[in-house]
Amino acid sequence: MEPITGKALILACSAIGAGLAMIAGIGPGIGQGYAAGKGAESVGRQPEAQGDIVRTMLLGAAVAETTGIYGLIIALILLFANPLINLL
Amino acid sequence: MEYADFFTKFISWLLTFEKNELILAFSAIGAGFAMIAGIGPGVGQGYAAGIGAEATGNNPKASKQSTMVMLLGAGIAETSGILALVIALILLFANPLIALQGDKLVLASSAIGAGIAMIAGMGPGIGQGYAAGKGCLAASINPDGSKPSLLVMLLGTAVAQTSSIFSLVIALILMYANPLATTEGHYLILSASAIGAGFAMLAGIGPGMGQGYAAGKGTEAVGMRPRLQPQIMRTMILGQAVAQTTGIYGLIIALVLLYANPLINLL
Repeated sequence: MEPITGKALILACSAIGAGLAMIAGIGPGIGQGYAAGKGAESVGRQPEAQGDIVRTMLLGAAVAETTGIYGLIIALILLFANPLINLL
Repeated sequence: MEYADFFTKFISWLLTFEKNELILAFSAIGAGFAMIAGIGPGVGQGYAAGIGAEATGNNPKASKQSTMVMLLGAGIAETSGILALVIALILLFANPLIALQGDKLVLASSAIGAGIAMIAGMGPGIGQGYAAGKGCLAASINPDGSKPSLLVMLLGTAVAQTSSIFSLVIALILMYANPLATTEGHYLILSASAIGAGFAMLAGIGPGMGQGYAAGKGTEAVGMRPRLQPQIMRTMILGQAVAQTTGIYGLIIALVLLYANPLINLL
């Protein structure tokens, strides 16, 4: 069996960490879905304002997306530009 | 050994077992993880059942129609729980990992990764249950004209199913066509990547819940004003598509970990 060096341990933990980081995606999914639901509700109530409603919905959804993208960035850093092994 | 700490002792203890022993032990844990998905359908169907009871109380004459829609919606909400059950049963009764060639720790970790990935089914279960409740309410308010809202409910819940299907695909890849088993690299990194891929799929909980909420609200709105179905549905689908994004990010990270793992080359 290949020995487990410190570097191997760091890389293995980075793989798990990248996966854990993506759990952040739960939030934006729930939030944006809530926004989509309220958007559909409002269009039903005021169809003539559909353009404005959708614009506001998408703006808010974009803000809600940010934390999901933060999680993605950390996962990508862990995978493709791992700073931890340089600290060894 | 310089690194003879708890972790390395634990890993080398695991490696003293035969290949099949390790895979079967970890498959038991994986099967357990997969079943956590059952939380979702439980919550969602409970909500639908509550609304069903409420709707029957409000309009007893329409109880047949509203109960029918509730059961239909609850059936859809059950899907992700059943998908998780199937993965757990495969791990227990027809374990495909034993037959695969590769490192034992990598294959055993893949069983845990597949189980963790299936937990994502929690999201669609809750979301679709919410939509089922709203569909039931619409049927109770307008029993004869509930077709347009029922259509929106079916379409919206179908979209909400996406993330649990993504998870199923990752779990099946890990179990039947495991790319990590044939990858050259340190067994610890490959094993951790299998578990990490499973964790990444948990992001699907959010899109499932959110899209289900949107499906519910869309159903409700169409139930109130059936003539506006096209506009309401357009807004619902657009919003659901945006809500899917983080689930797709998770899928991409899982696929990178499985097929284009950048960590192996760093060692």
